[in-house]
Parts: sequence; C-alpha cells; structure tokens
Amino acid sequence: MKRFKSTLSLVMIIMLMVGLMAGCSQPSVEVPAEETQPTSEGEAVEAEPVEEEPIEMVELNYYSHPDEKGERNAMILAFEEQYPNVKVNLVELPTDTSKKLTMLSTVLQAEDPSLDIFDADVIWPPIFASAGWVEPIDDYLTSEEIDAYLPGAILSNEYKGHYYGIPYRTDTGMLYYRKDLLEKYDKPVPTTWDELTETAKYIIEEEGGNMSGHAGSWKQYEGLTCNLTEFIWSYGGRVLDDDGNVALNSSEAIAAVTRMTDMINKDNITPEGVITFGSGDARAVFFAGEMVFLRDWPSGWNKSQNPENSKIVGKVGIAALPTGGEGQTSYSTLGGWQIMVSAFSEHKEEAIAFAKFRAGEYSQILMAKELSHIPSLKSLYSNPEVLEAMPFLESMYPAIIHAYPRPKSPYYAELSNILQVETQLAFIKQKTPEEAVKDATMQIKVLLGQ
Amino acid sequence: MVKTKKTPKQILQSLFYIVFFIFFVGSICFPFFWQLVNSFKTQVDLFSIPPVFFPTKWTLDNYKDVFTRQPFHLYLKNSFVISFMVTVICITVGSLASYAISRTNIKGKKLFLLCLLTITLLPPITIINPIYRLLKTMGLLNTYWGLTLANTTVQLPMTVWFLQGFFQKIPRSLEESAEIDGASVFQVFYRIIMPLVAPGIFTVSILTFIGAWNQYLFAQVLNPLKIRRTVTVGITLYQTDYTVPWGTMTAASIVITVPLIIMVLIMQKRIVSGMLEGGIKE
Amino acid sequence: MASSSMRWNMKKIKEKEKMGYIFLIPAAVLISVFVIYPVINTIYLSFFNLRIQTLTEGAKFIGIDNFKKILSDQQFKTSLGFTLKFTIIAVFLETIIGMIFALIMDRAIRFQGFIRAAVLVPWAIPTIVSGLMWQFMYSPQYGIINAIFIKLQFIKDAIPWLTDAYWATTATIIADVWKTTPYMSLLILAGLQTIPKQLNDAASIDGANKVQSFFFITLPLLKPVLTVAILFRVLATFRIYDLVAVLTNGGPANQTASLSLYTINTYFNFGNIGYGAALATMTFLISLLISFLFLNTLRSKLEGAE
Repeated sequence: MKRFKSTLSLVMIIMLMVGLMAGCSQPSVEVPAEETQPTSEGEAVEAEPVEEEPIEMVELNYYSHPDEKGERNAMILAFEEQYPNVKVNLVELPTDTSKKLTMLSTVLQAEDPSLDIFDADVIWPPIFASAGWVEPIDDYLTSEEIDAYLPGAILSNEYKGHYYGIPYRTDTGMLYYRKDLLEKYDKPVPTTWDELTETAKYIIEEEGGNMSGHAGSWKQYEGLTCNLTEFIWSYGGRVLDDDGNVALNSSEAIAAVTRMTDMINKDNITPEGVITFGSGDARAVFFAGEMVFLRDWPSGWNKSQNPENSKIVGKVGIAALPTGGEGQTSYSTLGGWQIMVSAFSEHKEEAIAFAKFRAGEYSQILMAKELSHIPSLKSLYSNPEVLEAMPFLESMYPAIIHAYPRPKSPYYAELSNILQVETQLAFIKQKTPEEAVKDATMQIKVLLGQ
Repeated sequence: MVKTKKTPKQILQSLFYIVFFIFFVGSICFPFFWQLVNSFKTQVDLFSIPPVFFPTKWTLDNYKDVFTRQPFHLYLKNSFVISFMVTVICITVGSLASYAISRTNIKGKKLFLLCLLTITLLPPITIINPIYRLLKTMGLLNTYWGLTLANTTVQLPMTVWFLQGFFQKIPRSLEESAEIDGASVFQVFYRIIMPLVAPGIFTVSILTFIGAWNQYLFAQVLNPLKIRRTVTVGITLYQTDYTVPWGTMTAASIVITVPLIIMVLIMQKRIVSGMLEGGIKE
Repeated sequence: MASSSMRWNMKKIKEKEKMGYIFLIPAAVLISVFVIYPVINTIYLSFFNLRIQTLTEGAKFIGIDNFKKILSDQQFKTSLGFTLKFTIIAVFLETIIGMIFALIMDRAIRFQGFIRAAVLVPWAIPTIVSGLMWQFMYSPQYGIINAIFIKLQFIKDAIPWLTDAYWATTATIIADVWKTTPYMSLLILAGLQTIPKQLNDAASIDGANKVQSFFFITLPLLKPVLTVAILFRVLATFRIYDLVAVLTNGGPANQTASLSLYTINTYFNFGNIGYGAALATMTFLISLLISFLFLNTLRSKLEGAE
C-alpha cells in the first residue's frame, strides 16, 4: 500500500510538472516549416537581430480548408516570398461547411483577433456582413481589379453597396455524361430533363447490372439546394423575384420538384440511397462506372481522369445542364469560394494583401492545375495552362459566366434549410410536390417577414 | 471436491453459453474488425460494389497516408498529454470534493451535488461560446491547459458520483482512530483514505482518460491550430472537398483507438474490480 | 473531564468542517467558472431576440416570446418526439441486453478477462470514429451489412438504412446501443457481484428456480445500481448529437434531428442566438424534469452523502 501510495503521488507530481511546463513554456516547433508559434493574438515578433535592421514580422492566421496535396502551402510560400515580413499560418477547418460555420461563428462572435482571413462559401458574405464580422474592402480594390472578375462571382461579395470579399474560385453545376454509353446506344446529349430520363431508362434497361441513371448531391444539406434551384430555374421558376419577394409557389417550381421526385420514385433512375448522397457519394457511383449521368461541380473532372479513382477514364463528357422543356434556358448554380478579412484582425493591410494574392492570377492558375478549381478571373479562360488542365472550360464558358446565384439574404442558411427539408419530405413521399412547394413558400415568407 | 461427470443438461448449457459468447463477442467486435480489415485495403477494394470482405491486396499505404498527410504523431502526443492532465486534475479535484461530501459535515452538499448533475443536463455545445470567450480572455486558447480545464469540468460529475460511493464504504472507525492519534484532516485524507480507495481511483482514471481522449467538440473549437490539435479533430481533416478517403480514415481510426484498447486490456481486471468495490452502490 | 473532551470534539468537528469547505474549493471554482457562468449566460440570452444578422443592432429584450414560439414550433415537436422515442428505446435495449450480458459474465467461466476486454472495445472508440464506421457499414453502395444479409438470404432487397425515416432511426439506435451496452453491462455486473451468493443458494434450496430467484432476489437488490445507471444513460442519450450528426445529419427531412442537433443548427448555422439559447434552456428544463422522475433515488443518494 505504501509503495502504491508513493508511486501514485510520484506519478501525479510528474504529470502536474509536465503539464505546468507544457503550459508555460513556448511549444517547440516540430512541425512543417510553415507553422510557427501560435498566439491568441497576431502580434509582432522581433526577428533575430542578424539583419541590418529588425524586420517587424507580421503573423496572419488563415482559416481554410484541409490541404489536399500541399498546394495551399505552396501558394502560401509563394506569397511569403513576395512579402518577406509576413508569415501566414494555414489553419485547417473540417470540410463540412456547417462545422466551418460553427468554428468561424464562435471565433468572430468572441471578436477574437486571432482570426485574420478565412475562406467563405459564396452564400456567406451577406450573413457575415450583416453581423458586422468582416471588413469592407472597396477602398483596396480598383475598378479595374473588380472588373477583372467574373460578374456573378464578384457580385456575391457585395452587400448593401460594399464589397466584403474577393472570389478565388467559382463553381457552376454541370452535367457529366458517359460518352461511350451514349455513343453505344446512339443517343444525343440530352437538352431537357425528360430527354435525360428517357435516355437513362433506356440505357439502364439495356446495360442491366447495377447501372443507374442520374444523381446529384440530394442529401439534406446545401448541396441539395444547389441542385434544387437548378431544376427550378430550368423550368422557369424562381425562389425570390428581383425585388426580393418570395416567388416560389408556382407551377414551374412544382413541375421541377415533381421531376426530381419522379426520378426517385417513378422512373427509378436514381441509385439506391440518393437522398443521403453528398457530392462525393454521387461521384463515387459515377466513377465506378455505374451511372450514365451525373450532376456535379467541375472539380470532379481531373479526378475522373485519374485511373486510381476512376474506372471511366476517357469516357467522360461534360455539357450544360438540361432544361425543363422547349424554350427554357439552362441554368447552373453559382458556387465558389471567396476570401474575406475579419473585422477584428489586427493586421488588416497585410491580410488584404494576402487576400488579393489568394484571389490573384498565380494562385488561381495553380489551383486550376492541381485541383480543377475553376478560375474567377476572366482573363484565365484564355490562359493556355488552365485550358490544358481543363479543356472543357472553353466550351463551358458561356454557362460559367451565366451561372446563377442562389437567393441572396442574410437569412440564407435558414431559407436553404427550409427548401432542403420540404424537398426531402417530397422525396420520401410524406408530402406531394405541391404541398412541399406551398409549405416552403409560406415558411420562407415568415422568415423574411413578408 | 468430488469431480462429478457433467449431465447432458449441463453440457447443453455450456454449449448454449459458448454459442452466446461467440455471438456476443462477435457482434460487439465485428464493426471494429471490419474497420481493421478495411484499413489494409487498396482504393479499388474499398470502393468495390458489392463490397469485398478481405482485401485482395494488402497494403500499408493508408497508414502511411495517415502520418504523412497530417502530423498525426503530433496529434497523438497532444491527445496523450491533455488526457493525462485531465485525468490527474480530475482525480485530484474530484477526490477532494468527494471526500468533503461524504466524510465531512459541511453544509450545502445537496446543492453541490445538484450543481454537478446540472453539468450533465446541458449539451456542451450550447455553452461553447462563453467558454471560448473566457479562455480567450485568459489567453488559454490553443494550449494544453485551456482544453484540459474545459474537459475536466465535463468529466467531474461522473468522477465525484463514483468516488463518493467508494469513500462511503470505508469504516469511520479508521478515521476516528487516526484523529485521536492527532492526525489533521488532510493527513487522514491522504494517508489513510486514499490508499483504501485505490481500486476506485484506477477505475475512474481509466474512465476519465478515455472520456478526455474521445472529446471532439471542445477540442475542435478551443484548439483549432495545428500545434495543439488532438487526434479526434485530426481525423476529420482527411476529408477534403469532395472525397471521403475511407482507407485513410479507417487507418486513422485504428490508430486513435488502439492505444485505448491496449490500455483497457491491461487495466481490465482493475476496472471491473474497481467497480465492484462500490462504484455506484446505494 | 467530560466538558474538556467535549470541547476537543467540538474543535475537531469545526476543523473538519473548515477543511471540508477547503476541499471543495477547487471543484467549486471549476464548476462556477466553466459551468454556472455559461449556463446562466445561455438562460439569460433566451429572453432576448438576438441574431447575428442583426448583431450590430444589439439584443432586444422580448421576455418569454422565444418560449412561446417554441411551443408552436413544428420542428421542435418533431425533434422532441424523435429524441424521446430514441432515448426510451435505446436505454431500454441497453438495459435489457446489458442485463443479459452481465448475468452471463457473472458466471465464472474461462476467458473471463478476454470477454470483459472485448466488451469494453465499443465504448473505447470515440463517437466521431464509430459514427463514420457505421455510416460506411450502412452505405447503400459499400455497406457490408446489407451485403452480408443478402448473402445469407435474410433479406432480398437492400435495407434503406439511412434513407428512410424509420430505418434511419433504427440504424442510429443500433449504433448507439452497440456503443453503450457494454458500459451498461459492466455497471450491472458490478452490482451483481456485490449480491451475496448465499441468498440465491438459499432460494434454490427452498425450491425456487432460476427465473424466480432472479426476479425476486437479484432484481430488487440491483435496483439502486440500476436506477442510477439508467438515470445517467437517459440524460446522456437525451443530449445525443455527435452520432446523429455523422450518420444522418438530421435527415431525411429533419426526421432524425435530435433536440441537440436542432438547437445547434439554430444557434450556429442560422445564427439565431436568442432562439437557440431558448431551445437549449428548454432542453435543459426537460432534462431536469426527467431527473425528477428519478427523484427518489436521487434523494436517497443525497441523503447517503450526509
């Protein structure tokens, strides 16, 4: 007993000492060179007095995505070369957009200056701007710089007359299709949803096995809203009209939702479990060669040509999304990411300089080549390097430049959630499409105070 | 004792128990075994439709990926340190409090125990904002201490309720004789009571350690920077824009869980006997 | 003399009392800083209309309006219904299965140590990890569960584990029960092993069979242990978030959105701080109500502390 007691006390004392030392001392740097001392506030740290004069180092914390293949860190290094007095720390947040939102909300609500710059989804600027969490950057952008960006992309960053961010990539929904299968059965690339459904049914019949027809990311998350709005617009419907009034309850919208639910329940061209699919899940089925059509973002392109991930290398074509019928226009949802500067950053000048670099030519070309991120700068659509990486950009340019934004509102997150839930209720047949559309309309009206 | 031959009924019973155990252990361990097998599979095997059970080709690539794509060894270190600190502090604070409640005649015991229970009633996420602000003011974000204190608070109720049961079982006469000999309250606590509840301490230590190791939300929000990140947060970062790298993630989940399982295996005798000695008795 | 030893006793008691308070200080500090303050803060916020969209305008006091809104909130009712249903079924299953496992583990058999270690495995795995694991197993394409069932011909078509509201609830319950049953069974086992063997032996000599002795001897003696274990499990399951978030994220159509999930979405995703705080307070009150159901046990435990 005595021995146990003294061992226990010894262990406890050691642990407490370790803890104290760990807590008090500066953590040693044993991670990749980019990481340095984290501090709760980005403060100036004096560098070694070996140089002629001490350079004031500025440290920025960049809350962003996980680094896939080292590209983000490469881009940061390039920036640091141009601005030797600035160090940028890449703080990875989980891919899940809502987890990101949780993290960013918490930090910004606490007005914590440890966050300088962060990546924002295309629908966030109104939300963050209305909360007073981000810095307007109009003064730092010339009108030429603003014009250099795709109109849809840069406009997403505008709120009540000011610009709050810069788009570093844009995104737009596209139709992927199996070139080889369409050729085999002598079917054209469909231009209407009905045509797509018929073609899919035919090919499923003929091919047999596990083949399915079409999928998108239809699980209850933002991806569903992206898909849904494309359908609604392609039938001629709207969610909000130009004045911001709710215009959802229309026969066009009902037709759109009906088309989606029929794909699942009537025509049976969607794979099993499509209402739990994120982009990755839908893509996986397509890449395994088990699907004819796929609605996805362009970033799926280079993965589809990689034999490690995909069984359909060389068999993939990309086209604009189908429409609701004759006389309708094809629409794709505007996606993309921007970089925004926190209103509480203590190094706004440097942060904005980094933001401009992140959304500048160098970074965009790099990401285009490595990750199939489509550029938000107009000039890059005729850039040879970019076009080599993504040849479809040339033909898809009209669709990209006309990508349509989702309803802009500070209450967007809740609005989107209403659309998601009601659509899913229609998917699982708990409501008819009419009921779903009507209920959604009513709820959104209440939300926006109309 | 005379060794009697087993009657057919007894043989049947044994058989029944054996079958039950296989089912029991099998269904419990199957998901874990499935993870283990998956961590050695290549991409092709992982995403084959329909799924294959054993890998057609065994590979260590996933494990390599776990440690190269992120500094997982750093996360392991952080998790270890934080879980240890939480355990030590929780046991210390918890046993002091338990002793005070079960052995001294202070007022407000009921209030205190109720407050403890309150902790378990509110989902942690709803109090994350105030805690973040608080730690930021104290400069404890992205440190070992900040997350430790937050985790300790969450583990405290279970600790106190558990240890209380152990303390109650010790006969008062031991204390009284020590007091008559002139020992102070603290001496009685430290030299007499604590060694007697050693099994209980072991049990609670393991529970606390595992609880702190598995903590996700606080770890994500309070220690977002890489340098103090824990393994539970690290595993969510393998998922990139549109892919779920099941291979890497199953491998990472094995890496996260194996230390715990080893610890459980070593300590399992102590855990159960620790609970036997009084854990949640009346 | 009597009076001086009485004075010595009084002094001792006073000293003990003082030390008792001192012993409590660390815990009390931790709790008041990290729990009491945030909880009061949350409850305070629930009386305001505060959204991040109108953050710059500040919080507006609206009394109990948020709570009135909750009572007519359809999603709240759905979430509450789901959470209650989930909690009752999950804890019930955990207890029954845990009891069976405990009874079996109580017998001295070979590999006892191994069994106990195996039993602890699910509970040692972080919820984040086990959630992902189950998600993979339930996957319509890569799910091993459907594959095995179909191979063994238990079912013909794949079960829509996560796409159907009923199956999604079932799937989540299975995942949760898998994780927590081992823990329950150990708690019960601990209780079983404190019951003197003589009682059961005496009963069988008197002619009672196994079932009778279980119900009339074992179970009543287990009651204290069982009640506390069930209480803690009920409170923990009521707060379920991690598992649901990973497996279904509340889908399909928010049918599996637990109260915590709904609260978190409201608070963080929609940025409705005031209403989110009200939902949290409501959850807190309901949990408090539930624990009152166990009041008798609580009372005796608190009294035992005297």
